[in-house]
Amino acid sequence: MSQQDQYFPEETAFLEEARAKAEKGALSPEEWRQAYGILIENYENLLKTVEVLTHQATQLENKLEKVRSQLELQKKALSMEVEGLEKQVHVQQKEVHKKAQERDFLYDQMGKTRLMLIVILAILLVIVGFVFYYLFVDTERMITFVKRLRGLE
Amino acid sequence: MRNLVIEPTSKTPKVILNADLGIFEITGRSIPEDAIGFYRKVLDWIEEYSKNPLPETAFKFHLEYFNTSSSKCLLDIFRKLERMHKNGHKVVIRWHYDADDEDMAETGQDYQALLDVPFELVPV
Repeated sequence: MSQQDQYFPEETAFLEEARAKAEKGALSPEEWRQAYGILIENYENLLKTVEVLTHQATQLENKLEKVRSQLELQKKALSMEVEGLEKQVHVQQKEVHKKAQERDFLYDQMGKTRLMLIVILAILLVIVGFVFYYLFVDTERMITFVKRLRGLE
Repeated sequence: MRNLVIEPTSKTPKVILNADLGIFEITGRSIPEDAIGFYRKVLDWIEEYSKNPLPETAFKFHLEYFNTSSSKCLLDIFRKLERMHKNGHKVVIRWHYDADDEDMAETGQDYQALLDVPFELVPV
């Protein structure tokens, strides 16, 4: 079945009928007039239908075109927005990188300070250990040491 | 007579043809690839209904969008209703459209001018 038959079945059937009549040819003048009148009427109806359908098809195309233009504008607006957001992301990435560098530097400084404090604490512990040992454990040696310092021995 | 109810999809409208309740409606969007196939059931139903219709048939159409082949099918439906009207039955077609949709109003006017059946334009 062709597209024409699908969408205009009645018109196609009538056309076939008219064609058959014309090929047959054996009609009286009155029958010819009658058949021709029906043909004109149907043709007129078909013309009106086609006019309406064409008008509506044009309207639909215009509607689609309007929507397409709107979509195009929205697409442009979205692209610009995406571009702006990408720039923002880039700036923020830089900011994050800078902050990370600053954090690493601070951690580094803290590490050094901590190490220094541990070394100082260790030295102090050694000194305190010596003092404690000579004051309370090996007092004789401490006395000898002090005397030696004062030049008494 | 059996009622015909077709639930809507993204491409086809909702169809309610209920002779018991006197509800005849086609609403929604109509952009099927096979409009002929879709509307054949509707046309067959109306053909059957027209043999023994209710004293009054008010057919409501409220379409937001339809393609050209649906437009031809709608015209076929209108022609059937027009035939019922010419056969002496009381028929009215109510073409509902969104008040701000000028195109749909104009489409209704096109149909109205083409048909010989009471055809009301109803802005909503």
